[in-house]
Amino acid sequence: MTEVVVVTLIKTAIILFALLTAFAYLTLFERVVQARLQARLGPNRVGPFGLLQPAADGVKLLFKETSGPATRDRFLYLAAPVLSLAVAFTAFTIVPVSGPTDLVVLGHRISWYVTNTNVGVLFYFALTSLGVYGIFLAGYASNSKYSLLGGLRSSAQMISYEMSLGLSLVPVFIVAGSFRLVDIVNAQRTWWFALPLLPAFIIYMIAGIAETNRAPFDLPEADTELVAGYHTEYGGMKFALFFMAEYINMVIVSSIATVMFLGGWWGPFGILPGPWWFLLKVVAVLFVYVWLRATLPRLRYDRLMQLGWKSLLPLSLAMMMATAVVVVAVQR
Amino acid sequence: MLSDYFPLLIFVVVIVGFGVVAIVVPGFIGGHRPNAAADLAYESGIVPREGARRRFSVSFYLTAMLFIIFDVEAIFIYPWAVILKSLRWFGVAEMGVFVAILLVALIYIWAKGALEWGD
Amino acid sequence: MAIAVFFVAAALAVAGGIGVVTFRQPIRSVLSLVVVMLALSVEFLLLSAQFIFVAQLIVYAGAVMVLFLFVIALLGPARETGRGRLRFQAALSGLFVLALLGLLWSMLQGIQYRQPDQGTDLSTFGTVQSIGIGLFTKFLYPFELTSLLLLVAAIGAIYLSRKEGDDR
Repeated sequence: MTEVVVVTLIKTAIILFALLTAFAYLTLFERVVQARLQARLGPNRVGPFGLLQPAADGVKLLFKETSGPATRDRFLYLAAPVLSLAVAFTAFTIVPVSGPTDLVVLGHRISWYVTNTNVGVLFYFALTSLGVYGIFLAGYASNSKYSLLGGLRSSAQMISYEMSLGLSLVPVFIVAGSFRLVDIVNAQRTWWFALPLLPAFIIYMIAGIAETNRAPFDLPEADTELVAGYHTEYGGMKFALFFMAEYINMVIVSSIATVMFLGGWWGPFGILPGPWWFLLKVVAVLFVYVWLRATLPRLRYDRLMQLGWKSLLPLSLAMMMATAVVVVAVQR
Repeated sequence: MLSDYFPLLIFVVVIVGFGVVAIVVPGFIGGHRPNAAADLAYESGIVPREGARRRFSVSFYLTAMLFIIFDVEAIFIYPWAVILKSLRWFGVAEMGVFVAILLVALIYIWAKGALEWGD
Repeated sequence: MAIAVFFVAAALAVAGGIGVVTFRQPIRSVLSLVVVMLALSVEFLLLSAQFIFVAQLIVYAGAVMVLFLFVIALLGPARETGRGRLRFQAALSGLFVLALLGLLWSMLQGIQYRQPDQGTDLSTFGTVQSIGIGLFTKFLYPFELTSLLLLVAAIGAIYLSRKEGDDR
């Protein structure tokens, strides 16, 4: 019991630190990669190669004055960013960073994940569905028109893509026969699921990008019409928490994609240890995120909703039934 | 079984604690200069004349209702997916009927124009 | 430990329930109901019902309550006013609460608390697989009927949201 508490607290501290670092450098990574894709230099003044830029941004946000509309709902206004952040971080508890054997430290066997439950990925779906609250409440509590409309749009978008996000992973569950992420990664020892289940992978990535409100589906915060969307009225550290939640959600979507489709910690030829392969794949998926943002124009809101309901939903159902037929047909 | 979920509890408590600290602390270390203009909601420089909470398009409401229907559908699909290998063709047929009926629902709402956001 | 979690979740559920009826702003009432749903999901987990735990989170906390939020956004900032209140409302509700508590108490008298059956395997009880096998073999007929129910719900949703005087 005590051992579980101590080990979990250490893991929590490591994940908190790792995800905060990932968030800080993801913002820099995004700015530099986007700049290079557009033949610019990007931030390069703060520290060598601009590496201290995230620290400078963080310190700035920490010392900002706290202000907001006087007519806001104070409790909900403060609760919304905490909620968004907690939901984003908690999703990482189910991700196995390496395997298949546990890490042995001073005679204690330590697993490479926080939890590995029977419901596995379903818990991630539960968290994404709770993620709507932070965004909706931010928009509602601010009592500002841009915020409310942005929050409403954002939450409608999230629930519309949530179905496709869930259904696109069903083929993986069928093939692996489990929800446990560790089992799913182990089933990909020879073949990554991205190859046989390519359409499901593509649907998952589109739904995942829409679910995290990123370009080209970032209309909830379309600068030209809704300013900053649901977080228009947030500043300083409260804004930073939303920003953090958004980037950590990107990391989560990439991690789940790695586990579900890209073979998790398995790498060819066994040349690198598991965690490195995992990190490499997550960074590769994150690069796609940034690449898409630099390349694609934003969709119109009605087109966005129609893409979710009229294309992704039927396609993910079709992919699911097709996988079921093939799996049963080849089964002996 | 329950012990699988215990680390989750610890994790959530720590993270919420972190969030609360991150919200509360800057309030003390940040500057504070009260200003009547900063207390207004941002409307691109226009002084707001009324609160923001007003009625919104019924499409949002309809989307949420349709979402519940397909979310419940998905909840039934998940347990089917992991045991399909033991259900075999029987399982495919079962889910085929279920999904077919729901496709009728999708085609119906599509034909009724509930998925249009034009107006 | 499990007992402590049970009482914390139960207290939250009751507090949420009280919040639903006492808050004046509709959004606070909805959020109280969300607290009830979250607390109930924890109680399901304590009963080893893992799948029901996530289903409760996904469907009730994540979908039904979101619809409630949207309805509030749709209706605008209406605050509950005293209009439509009965004259003896407080006394009447107190009476009903007492009656309900009495009913609950009398029901609890007949309960025999017991351990799970000796044959129950707690390592598979409540898992997604065990629920799935029950659902897709023994309860196949109700499961297929559910899809018809969802179809009817879709038709109802479209009907409810049509425009006034619009008979499409």
